Amino acid sequence: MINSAEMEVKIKNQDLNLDRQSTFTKWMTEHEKLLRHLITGFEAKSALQDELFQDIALNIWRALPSFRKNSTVKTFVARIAHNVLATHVAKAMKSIKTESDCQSQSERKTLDATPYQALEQQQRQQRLSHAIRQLNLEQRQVLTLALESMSYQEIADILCISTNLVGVRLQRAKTTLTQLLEVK
Amino acid sequence: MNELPPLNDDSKASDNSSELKLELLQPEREKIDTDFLNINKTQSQPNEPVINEPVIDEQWLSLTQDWQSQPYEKTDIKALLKQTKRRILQAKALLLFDTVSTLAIFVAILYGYFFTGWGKTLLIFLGISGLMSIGYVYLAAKIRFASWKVFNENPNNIIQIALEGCQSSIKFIKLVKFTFIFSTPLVNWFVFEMAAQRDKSVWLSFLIANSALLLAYGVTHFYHKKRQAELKQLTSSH
Repeated sequence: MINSAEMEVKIKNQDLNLDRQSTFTKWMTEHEKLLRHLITGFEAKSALQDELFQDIALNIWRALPSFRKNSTVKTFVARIAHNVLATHVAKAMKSIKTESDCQSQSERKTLDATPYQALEQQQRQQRLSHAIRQLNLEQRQVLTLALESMSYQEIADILCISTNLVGVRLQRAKTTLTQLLEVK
Repeated sequence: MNELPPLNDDSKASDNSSELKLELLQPEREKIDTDFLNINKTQSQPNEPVINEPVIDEQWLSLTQDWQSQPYEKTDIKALLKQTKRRILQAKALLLFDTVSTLAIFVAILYGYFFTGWGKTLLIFLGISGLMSIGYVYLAAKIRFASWKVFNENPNNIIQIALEGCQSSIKFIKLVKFTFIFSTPLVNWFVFEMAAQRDKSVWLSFLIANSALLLAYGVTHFYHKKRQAELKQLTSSH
């Protein structure tokens, strides 16, 4: 027979679990776009992008109980994403973007634009993503976060580096990106 | 196709005094290009670079807009939640299975020794297998627990952790390969003894047992090569 104290603990655990589920759902819904964009900067193949998204989700779920409110949810989520992506880049053999990958990405629709504008924007986006993926890991990390309109302080918090170093890395990343985009 | 405009205009000469002061604060190789930051310098203190503002300029804005308007496929978050929970459960179940299997080997030894007439050969074989299984479960649990707590860590440590993980994985693989030196004679001895006890053809048993060992060695060798390639990649990117 379950006594009242055990029942209370059981209910509390159920509440915590439900709370974790709802928090996870809320975070993933709110930051899905950010995560998808970050992944695009690190991996070209759409199948691997989905795999990475699931890995990030898994790690967010695991890390959720350790979240302390001394950082924002956005910073917390982005840090986990960057850790997963950095590990992926470091471990993976250099992935070569194939024609079929380009095709699968170009098939995605761009909303709220004329067909010509949409096509032009799509091409620019593809060239930008491709160029970003050619940067080294450190440059890629700061650049993808800066492109999400994050402040130097936020980038520094996510990557655990000084704001000055963010500036240095970002400047180098932009210079390299300029060269890469000019070459094309 | 239109070319994207260059991000930096290096031809712009900057003679702003605040920038000069900023340069003095930075080591020679870590200068910050304040043109790039495009911060309204008249509003900031000369010695304090404004670093909390988002990085904006017209060209950058264009890139940012392109980047942020990238289309993406909407995820079914409920399905993702379900899948995430399933993956966690699978990982825990696998670890539990390994632990229970190891315990079962020792329970089997005790049962065999005290309650049944299992031969010495089988008991020795189970005993050595049980000890090897403990080592395996210990290392597997260690690796898994380490990977579970990694992703909330400082990103600067991530590559180092991945590097160490890869190195320890290679060590583990080498250990497994090394155990083949002991397990091959043990398995062959066990097969020989069992075949002799049951008056069965020893050659077929040898063939099956050694094929299984060879297959296991092949799989281990495949992972050894894979981890070595990963380590090479990690070392070159670090």
